[in-house]
Amino acid sequence: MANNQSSAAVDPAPESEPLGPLPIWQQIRWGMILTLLLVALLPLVGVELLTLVLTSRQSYNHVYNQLQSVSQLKANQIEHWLGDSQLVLEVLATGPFEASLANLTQTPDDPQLEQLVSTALTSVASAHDIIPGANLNFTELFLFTPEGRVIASSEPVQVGKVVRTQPYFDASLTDSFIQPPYYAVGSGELTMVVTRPIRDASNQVVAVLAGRLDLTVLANLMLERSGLGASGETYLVSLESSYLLTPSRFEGYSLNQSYHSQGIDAALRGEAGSGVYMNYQSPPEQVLGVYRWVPELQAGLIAEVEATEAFAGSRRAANYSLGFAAGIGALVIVLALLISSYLSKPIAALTDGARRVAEGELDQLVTVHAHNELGVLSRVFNTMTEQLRLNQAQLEQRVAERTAELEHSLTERNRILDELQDSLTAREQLKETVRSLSMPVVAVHDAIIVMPLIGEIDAARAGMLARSLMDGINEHRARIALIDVTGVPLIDSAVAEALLTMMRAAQLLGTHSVLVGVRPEIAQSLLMLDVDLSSVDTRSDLKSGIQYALELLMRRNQG
Amino acid sequence: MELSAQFSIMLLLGLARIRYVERGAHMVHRVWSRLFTVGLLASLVLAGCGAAAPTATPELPPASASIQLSWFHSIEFAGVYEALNQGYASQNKLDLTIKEGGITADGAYIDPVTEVQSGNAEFGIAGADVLLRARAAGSPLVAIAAIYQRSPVALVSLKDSNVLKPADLAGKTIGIAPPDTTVYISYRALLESEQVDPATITEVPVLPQSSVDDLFSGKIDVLHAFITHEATQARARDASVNVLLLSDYGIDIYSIDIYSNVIFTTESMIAEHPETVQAFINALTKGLTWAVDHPEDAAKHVVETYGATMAPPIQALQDEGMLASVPLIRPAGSQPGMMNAKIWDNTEQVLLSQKLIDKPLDVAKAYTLTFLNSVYGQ
Repeated sequence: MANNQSSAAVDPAPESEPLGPLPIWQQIRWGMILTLLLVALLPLVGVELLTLVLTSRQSYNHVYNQLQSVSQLKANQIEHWLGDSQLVLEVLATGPFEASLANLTQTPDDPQLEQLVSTALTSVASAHDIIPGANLNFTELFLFTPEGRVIASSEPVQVGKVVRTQPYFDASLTDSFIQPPYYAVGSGELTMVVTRPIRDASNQVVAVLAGRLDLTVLANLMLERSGLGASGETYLVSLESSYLLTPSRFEGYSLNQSYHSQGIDAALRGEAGSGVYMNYQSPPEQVLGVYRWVPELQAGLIAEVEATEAFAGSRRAANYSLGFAAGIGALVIVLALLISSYLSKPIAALTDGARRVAEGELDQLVTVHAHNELGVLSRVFNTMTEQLRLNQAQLEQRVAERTAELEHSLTERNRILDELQDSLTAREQLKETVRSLSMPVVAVHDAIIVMPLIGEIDAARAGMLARSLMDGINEHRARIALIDVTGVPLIDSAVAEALLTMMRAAQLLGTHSVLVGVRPEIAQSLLMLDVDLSSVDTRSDLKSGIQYALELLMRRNQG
Repeated sequence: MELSAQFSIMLLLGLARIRYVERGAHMVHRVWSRLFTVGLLASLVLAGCGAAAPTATPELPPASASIQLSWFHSIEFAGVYEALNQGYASQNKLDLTIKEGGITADGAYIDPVTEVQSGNAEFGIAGADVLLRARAAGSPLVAIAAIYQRSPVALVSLKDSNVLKPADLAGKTIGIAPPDTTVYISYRALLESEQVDPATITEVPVLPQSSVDDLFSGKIDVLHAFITHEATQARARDASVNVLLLSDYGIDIYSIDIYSNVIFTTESMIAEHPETVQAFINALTKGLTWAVDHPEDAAKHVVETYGATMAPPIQALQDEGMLASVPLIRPAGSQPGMMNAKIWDNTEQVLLSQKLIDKPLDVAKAYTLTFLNSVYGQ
């Protein structure tokens, strides 16, 4: 408000821009800071983002490839394990034991034969080197009849049992079969069985050779973590129950529990793929997972690495580059502040100076210690201000001089006026004097007065002549007044009337007036004027007039 | 200040975005949207619950039904409990009441067959043999599902008794279940199938609550057991005990695999209220599935709800019992609740053989797969 008022007071035009401080978004300083920041940070941020995306993708691809190859490896190992298991059955069925097996199927209740075969099966089941390099273990090898009765086994107590209700029974009678893992009734244990039918000469199935697989092999195979980092794991999940077939590497996740995750569910739908998703744990952990369907096991094979580990590299890179970006950003901010204050301070000083100049303070100089254009600008500004100040000073001086001159001439004029007034007064006095001088009343004898008239007589003067005659008559108690018109150049009818009026007035006072000095040309003109002068005593000149007066006086005194 | 604040916010947002991208945006989004969906559903359900009561349509009132269990509360009935616990019953508009069975204070067995026949309960649980014998006696009862699809009946003995196969039973003292029970009938079938002379065996009646003690005290050599109950108790006391599963034997009569707990109702119930029966089967099969999908949680629920009435050692073994019952409830290649015609025929043969019924029955009328097939889309 104060700014507005002061600027309004300084600036006569109300619609012009205010001279006060600008709002922050219009200031060069902040504009410059923002621009610098944008110019410096935008490309930086862009590059950062690109780097992050690339490193993230790179580490994703890296981990993905690793998981993919681990998953492939384990799937191959499972395949080999099952293949080798079936091979063992094949060797048993077609190798040196073939005859014994065939004999037993002929006479299933022969205890000696059963003993023979069972011993053979036991030796095979406990042998680890039937197939060199194969990690094989049968917990049990057994032979059952097409009716489902076990007639020989590496575990003697199993002989005599019936396997008709076992899930593999029907399938085992037609061809080699791999029974996917299932929980056995009674033992409650996870069980997996491979079977191979034994046929006689007429191709009839006379018995089935079956091997119960040691699932710790499978568990160990899946728990083998080479290439999986610190948090990676591979595990199998069964289709039928969504149970884990091999243990979780984490504590507290029992096999007998239905587990679900994006990867598990996709694998159990028979899909193969990968993704970043939340795993089966509770609370779920974000993982990068590769999943595939393993048909032999009717199970999903999942390979997962925790996302925190999978992306640790890219996160570290991200942190470094973010730190770098933040450092650059801070540097840019400091630089922008420095540069903008370096540029905007002189501008602010100039603006301030200009504002003060606009307010009329011309003695203010701007001090800018810059050697650039702004320095030049400020010096030019100062020069301009100085020039303005000088111009104004000159102007003021001229105004003062002019004022003095004007005052002087005014005084002079007044003086002249006074003088004129004086001379006018003098002239008036002179005129009065002249007038009084032109109307003398002279007493030439007791009771005789002469009034010589000189000069032209107008109406005004005629009035005065009358008053002057009356005054003279009173003063001199004159009985006779001689009015000398010798000095009057011209007597017109008006003058003549005035003279007559005057003489009649004198008559009223008892004084007899005699008109003297009527020159011939005057007399002539009087006649022509048709003025009745019959009652007027006239004499030709003053001498005869005085003589006549004296005679008249004597006659009156005598008379 | 404002600008720098804005800028730091922009930077933070940028960082957050980057982390977001890096952590797998779609998954985070999925989780949140799932949470949101769950919340939304929960609120809808809540709102629905609030609104449903007054606006329930008169032509579809929630049917109410009760089920009479065949024994004291235990994990054997976990599927029934979870049908309630998980809301499957109410989802199927079924107001289900569960009635505990067992033995009353005056020593009488609460017989589900009697309860259902008298109309005290719409559904009951009993062995397949019990049902067939009731039908033979003229009770129009029909089995609609089986809790255990494999027989849980076993013979438990200490390692030293060396009972590894049926033949080893000769000369042993066996603690037996009451003679007209599924367990006993199965046992007699085993002896017959494996040609063990019953005369060589001493049978001693035991009480359910002390039978395992009798085994360890040497009072008996062998104990009639459910693998889900007494067998787990015995295993818990000594892991080396021998457990001889009866369903592993029985070549001549298929296998000794009598359903020990089929769920049944009356023919009139099926004729008059098939929708209630279907609703019950819908809820039951889901409850069974939930129980085998979450055996540890299901056992925990049983202990939480009914643990007060259980002896502490039994309470502690619900978990093992539940795990042992998983292959019984969902054997490989089957669906929870399912029944098999062969097993029914087999049971009839056993009963005939043991002269527990006089003449063959129309076994196909004793059970129906209609409701189960409706669930599993067959």
